[in-house]
Amino acid sequence: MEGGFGPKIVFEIAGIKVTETVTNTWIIMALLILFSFLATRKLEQMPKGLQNFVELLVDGIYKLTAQTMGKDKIGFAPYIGTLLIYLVCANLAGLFALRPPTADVNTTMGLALITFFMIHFFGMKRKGVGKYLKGFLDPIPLMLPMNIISELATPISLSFRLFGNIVGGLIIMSLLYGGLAGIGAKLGIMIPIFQVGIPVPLHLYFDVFAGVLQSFIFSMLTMVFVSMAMD
Amino acid sequence: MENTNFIVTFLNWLLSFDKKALILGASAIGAGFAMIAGIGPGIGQGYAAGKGAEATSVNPKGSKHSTMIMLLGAGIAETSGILSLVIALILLFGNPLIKQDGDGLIIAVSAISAGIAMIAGIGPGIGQGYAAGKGCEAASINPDGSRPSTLVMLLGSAVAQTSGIFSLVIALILMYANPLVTGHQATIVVAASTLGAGIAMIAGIGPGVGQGYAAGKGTEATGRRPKYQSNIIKTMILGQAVAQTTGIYALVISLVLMFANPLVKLL
Repeated sequence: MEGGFGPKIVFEIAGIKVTETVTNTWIIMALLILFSFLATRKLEQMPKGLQNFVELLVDGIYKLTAQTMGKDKIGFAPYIGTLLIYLVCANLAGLFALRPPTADVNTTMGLALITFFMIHFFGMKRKGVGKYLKGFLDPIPLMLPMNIISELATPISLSFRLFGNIVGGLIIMSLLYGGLAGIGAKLGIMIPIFQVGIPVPLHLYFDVFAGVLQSFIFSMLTMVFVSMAMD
Repeated sequence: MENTNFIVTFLNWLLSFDKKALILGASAIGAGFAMIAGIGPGIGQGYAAGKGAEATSVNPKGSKHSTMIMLLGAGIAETSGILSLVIALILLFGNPLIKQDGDGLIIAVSAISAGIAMIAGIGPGIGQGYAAGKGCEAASINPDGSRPSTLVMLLGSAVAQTSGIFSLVIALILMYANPLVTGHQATIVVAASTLGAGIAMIAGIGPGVGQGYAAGKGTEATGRRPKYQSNIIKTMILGQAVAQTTGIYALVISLVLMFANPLVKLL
């Protein structure tokens, strides 16, 4: 994306342009690693405070995975949990004046491709390659090209659902802040009074509501698609 | 003598403008077209609101809970309106087409076409609104089973968004990476193909409405029998995948018109 809304290039290493997307992903990764380290440093039999919260989170993710994918696929819970926690942090980054990494199609497409390969790898692993490929001839062999195209459409819709929602919020918010600053400048007020308060409801919808919801939906769809390919 | 060939006259009239002015004018039309999508969320959220009112009378004690679910669903149904708004805002405030090299007419048509593609948003808006209404209804009839039914509502609504997403993809390609802009042959064919790529995407209305209906029924079914949630989800998603096919045809034709256009070679 060019045209003023794309990620800024922070620096270059040997001709590779490193954008905000990458640096912000590193920041989120560092915070998550630090959080995991602090939360698991002093594990006790009787959880207190932070450990309580983390246990609740992990428990919830395991329950959700078992409920959505079936008890036999509980092994996916660590991946799903990681995905969910990363996406929530990435989508909420806008609240902390970081450009959300998920507002870059490269991030969302990368995650969607992981889902895509998971669907087919675990489908083949569970059913056997021959039987799995035969599934593409259902309900009638004539449907083969259609089935292949709809499989390819899965990562596209997955990635752009997340990207579209987050980048949409980003564009609207940046235009709003620009507009409010413009009003302030017109009235000759140098202190940014308009940028306080007015954007809050919009932040609530675009960052908190859409951000958390889209993280949940991405993880849910990943679970449903993978478990459907395996059953 | 008046020239009676209106199309030629019209095109000559268009080409009499400065390239930048032509693109800016077309962007204004495109932004307007994109906003037509607002029909969908309007209808859908209205339905959800009606169901919310009904739910309050069915179960006055649990009205707070069912209203929350209605708002959640209505928030999702807003998505296509927001995506259209984003495309319109990009056309107005961050238009990448102004700096684009290439034929002015084709770039102008890209702007209009990006707007037309977004009309598909009508479908997801209506469909997700229906699902939201059903989610609210399910929560009022069986408050205990409202968690699984809300989950099915979310999943179904996410799938119902698919055709709106495809339209967004096409609109973004038209604005940021239209491969036809730099074509040096047959301007009229290429411009018409660009317009066709946008018009094709209107088909997305259908899958959006249909998948939303499936999502609503899935929600209702889960509300009645929460135990069978996973079976209901499987049936719902299978059906929704079939309902997606016409939307995928549209996407394929749209991409063919842009990236592998057979018509240009016929000249």
